[in-house]
Amino acid sequence: MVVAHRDWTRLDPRDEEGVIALLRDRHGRTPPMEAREIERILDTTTSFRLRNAAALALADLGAAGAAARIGQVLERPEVAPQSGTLLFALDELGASLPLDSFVNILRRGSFEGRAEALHFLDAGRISESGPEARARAVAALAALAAGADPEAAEAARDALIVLRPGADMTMAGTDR
Amino acid sequence: MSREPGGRFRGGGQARRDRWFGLEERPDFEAFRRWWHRVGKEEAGGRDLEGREQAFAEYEAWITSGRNRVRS
Repeated sequence: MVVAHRDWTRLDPRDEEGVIALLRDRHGRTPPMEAREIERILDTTTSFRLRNAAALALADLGAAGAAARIGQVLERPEVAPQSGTLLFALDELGASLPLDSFVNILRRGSFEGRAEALHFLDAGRISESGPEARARAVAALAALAAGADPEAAEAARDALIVLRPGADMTMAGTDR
Repeated sequence: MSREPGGRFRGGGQARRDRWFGLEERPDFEAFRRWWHRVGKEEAGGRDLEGREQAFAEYEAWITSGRNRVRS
């Protein structure tokens, strides 16, 4: 049997509908799109629809490193306004949300993005890289809590209850 | 307060708190959430929900359409 090979790097990034269809029907294709190709799309696309489809495809694959890649993308300011499904995909992977990404979503995210991000806080699945990063995040959240956006301020106040020094919290195990 | 390797905050229980302004209290909220992210959002143009009113409207539309479920 002759198996067709497709060079996924030659996908036309302007063909948003076509690539989304491939991502959503990933298991029905020969050969299937590999995780590294999906990660490339997630990293490079400027389309939030493509990012959503790529994140869901990575969650379905459960590939090693997928959660870290989604978490990194969520640090980008331009991604925050349409971040709800990336956060859902991260949740599906059972991963934690990096603290810098969490702050980014609270600052610039939508209603949906903030709700999904706060779910990670409620579930104890916010990860950080050390005391300095935590102090920087707490300062950013304090500024946000005093800012003009009432929804962002409310979310930041909720986050500070857990994250500020002296709060009743524990630090749990490693992320996947 | 204790600290273990890995640097992950644990600030509350697993229960979903009032982040969706009461929508999360509905017994089928998780099914709706899964459908929204995997089906409904793309059909609606791919953008995030912008507020409580839109979230409830999408939920009610999902109920009216028969509570389509997405397999885990």
